[in-house]
Amino acid sequence: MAILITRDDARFNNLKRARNGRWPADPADGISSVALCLSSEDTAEALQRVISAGQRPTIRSGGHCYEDFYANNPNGTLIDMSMMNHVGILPHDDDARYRVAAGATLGKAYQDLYKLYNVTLPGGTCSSVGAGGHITGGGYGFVSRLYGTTADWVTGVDILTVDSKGKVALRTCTAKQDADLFRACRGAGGGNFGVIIDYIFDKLPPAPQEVMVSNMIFPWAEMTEEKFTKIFDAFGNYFATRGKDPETWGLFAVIEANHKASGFMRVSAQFCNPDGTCKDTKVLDEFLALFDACKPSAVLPTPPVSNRPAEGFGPHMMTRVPWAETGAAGGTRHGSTRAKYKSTCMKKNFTTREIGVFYKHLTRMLPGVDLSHTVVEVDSYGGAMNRQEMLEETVAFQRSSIMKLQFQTYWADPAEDEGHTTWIREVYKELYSSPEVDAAHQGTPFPGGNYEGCYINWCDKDMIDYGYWPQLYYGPNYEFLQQVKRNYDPNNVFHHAMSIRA
Amino acid sequence: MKQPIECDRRRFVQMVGSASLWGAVGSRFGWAASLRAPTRTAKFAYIGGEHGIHVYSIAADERFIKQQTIASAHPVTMAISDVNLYVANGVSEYGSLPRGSVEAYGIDAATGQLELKNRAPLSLSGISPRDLAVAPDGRSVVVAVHGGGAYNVLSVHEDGRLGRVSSILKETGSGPHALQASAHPSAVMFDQVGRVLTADQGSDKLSVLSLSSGELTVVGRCEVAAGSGPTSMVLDPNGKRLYVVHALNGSVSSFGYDATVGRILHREQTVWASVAGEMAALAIHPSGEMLYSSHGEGVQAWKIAGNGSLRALPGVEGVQANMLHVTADGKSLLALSGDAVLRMKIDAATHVLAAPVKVASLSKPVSIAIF
Repeated sequence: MAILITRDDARFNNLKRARNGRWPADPADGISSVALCLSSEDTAEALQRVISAGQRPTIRSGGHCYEDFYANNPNGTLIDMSMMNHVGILPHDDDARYRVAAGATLGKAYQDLYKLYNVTLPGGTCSSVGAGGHITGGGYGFVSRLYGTTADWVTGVDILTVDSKGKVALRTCTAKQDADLFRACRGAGGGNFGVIIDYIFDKLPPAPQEVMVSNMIFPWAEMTEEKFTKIFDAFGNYFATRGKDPETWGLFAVIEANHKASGFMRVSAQFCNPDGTCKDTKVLDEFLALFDACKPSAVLPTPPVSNRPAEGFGPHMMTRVPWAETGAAGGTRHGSTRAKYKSTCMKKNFTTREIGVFYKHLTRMLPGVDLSHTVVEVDSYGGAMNRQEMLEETVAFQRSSIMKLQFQTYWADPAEDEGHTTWIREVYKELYSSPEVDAAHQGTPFPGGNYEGCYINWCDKDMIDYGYWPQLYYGPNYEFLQQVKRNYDPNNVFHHAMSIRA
Repeated sequence: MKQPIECDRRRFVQMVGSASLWGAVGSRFGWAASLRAPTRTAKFAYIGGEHGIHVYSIAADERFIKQQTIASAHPVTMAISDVNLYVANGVSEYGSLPRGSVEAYGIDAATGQLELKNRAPLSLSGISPRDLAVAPDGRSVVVAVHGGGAYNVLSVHEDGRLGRVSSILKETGSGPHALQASAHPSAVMFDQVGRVLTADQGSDKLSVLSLSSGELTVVGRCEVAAGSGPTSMVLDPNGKRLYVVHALNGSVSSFGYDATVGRILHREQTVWASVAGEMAALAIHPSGEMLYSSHGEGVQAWKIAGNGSLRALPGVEGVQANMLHVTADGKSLLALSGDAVLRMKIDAATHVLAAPVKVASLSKPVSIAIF
């Protein structure tokens, strides 16, 4: 039986908290209990109890949801999966398939899969993210350009659904069993159809033996708009051209365009060759050289591995890191408690106008608002993630993107809520109020020639103000998802602000 | 968002509204209103239609004279409590979120005019509400959320404004009919001791709920004929017999009701209409001697015998009523049809209905309350 934590339990106030301190927006929106589940049987029993009591369940694995999807559940029960975190091949599983439980963090999954089997999950850049929501939302990360998204590798999902009569049932959906639900679980995002117990993988890609990592630091004190433009253009142009060559797919790079108030910007890269080694670093050297003219003040190893002696390797400073150590290198980025996010999938390099908008807002100061933990991150994308054959197998439709942008702003004081949300909304709206977006979809990166919508794992409730928001996140697949919703959750037991609306 | 039943074609009787007619000022309950002598002549009628709420004064000859039209999003049901009108908006989205809403209006007792006090959202996924009822103490509104498959309780402030949702009862269930893929709460009303009676068109289920400190809990359930789709219900004046109209199989059924323990007793009788469909309406005469029903094709009259059994009397053909409403003085039956409010006089001796007379013209009337 699941452990039920109610309001009178000393642990409740801690366990009810959302990672993003903004949620629940009003204490009255909060849950009344937490069900800590230790097994699939526990979870089924807890879920059935919630349904029979006329409550609403919400689900938490790692708790990283950017919006209030699990935290906003007035007097409801939070099904907490964090203790269901097994990773590996179960003794009773004759098929010797890898299982990653919904409650496993990516960090644990990387470590266990590496130590036990020398394989890895392709996706995720933050080790404390839970597998439950991450994988069903697509899930990409450091080696996804090389191997594809994590959802691409999933071959089965154990999931609890609730039938029309309110009865809980465990399903194992695969390409042959409940195939529509299986496809939907590969890209729709969490909290839509049921409680995911395990992800099943017939095979997983080999863990790289080693990777090269490198950081280029660009202090704002030395920044000009011309240099800023060169950095963005060089990065975007690379992934729009050279980055499409499979030889480069082992390169994952990020522009960390921190607000001027933070003091510096950074371009970081992680690299291995397609064979999982770093015997030849030509690709990484080539990439780093693009920024030589921008004169970074330092080229350093990333902070989590800075205790290792940096190696001179060719003309650029790099450091050699065992794969297992990089897998746990994420964690909470800023440690702040309140946050707002947005996302964009980009199909082309930045326009000069877009770069100008970034520069304007990253150098704009707002009175009384500390933007020192505000950043636009530009992730490299594409490579194996753009395999067109996966369009039919998953519902992740963004298979032509070369970069993914994640707008992030963090703060601690609720008094700054309006300032931060205003900043992020203004930069986003200005970016996509442009000739690159058709007249009917101004203000959004609507799928078209330049953009490919938004990423559901970086959910953004602002977007539901646009009636066409499902197309931003699901492209042509929304009607399919609505049918799956009707089939497997007819009573809409599982819902949140951006869940599939049947 | 697909809805199994078009809201503008909804068919049910709203208990509170139907029994507070023609002078039952301040009465919140059908059974209570029907037991009282009218304290004054009703002066104003509020009709929810396609484009908002229409306010009419009621002339001596019972014609409706329009006084005001106020914008309101799909006002599917309404109820009066003191000098407040509560209206459920049968929408599937409010504030960009999937949810309906409820509005509170103040009534100017002299002119009948409405002034919006506030609009409160229903719970997340609480789309397409279908019915509401105000608690006996006037401090809560219970909403049957047809599309969202739930009941919501909203608190009411001292000044009549609506507060936030204080309780959500999420329902599950389904039935064999094509329109019963999920739970669809359709009707809600209070009994004489303040318990909540509900009908679920999607799961063929009647329920008795308790409301305490703003929280709803289940007291008991009662399953009805599979595929029948209980749509609306009324209690007889002594609160001991429950009549239910079923849209999906074209029937009306009666049940005993024990208010002391809040239990729906065995089904006593089922009578059949000529039509089954997506709509059904029901109203009871204040005397407790007549029941009127409609399944969208004509109005049927049922004589209620002393033992509660129903016997068909001549009805009125050709009236496509989506809602029926007996005035509190028992002299008229109002029917909301496609483009009009129709009045049918009720013979005092025989209770036979006279031919309908149009008292107001408006597009797609769906809800009514009288002040």
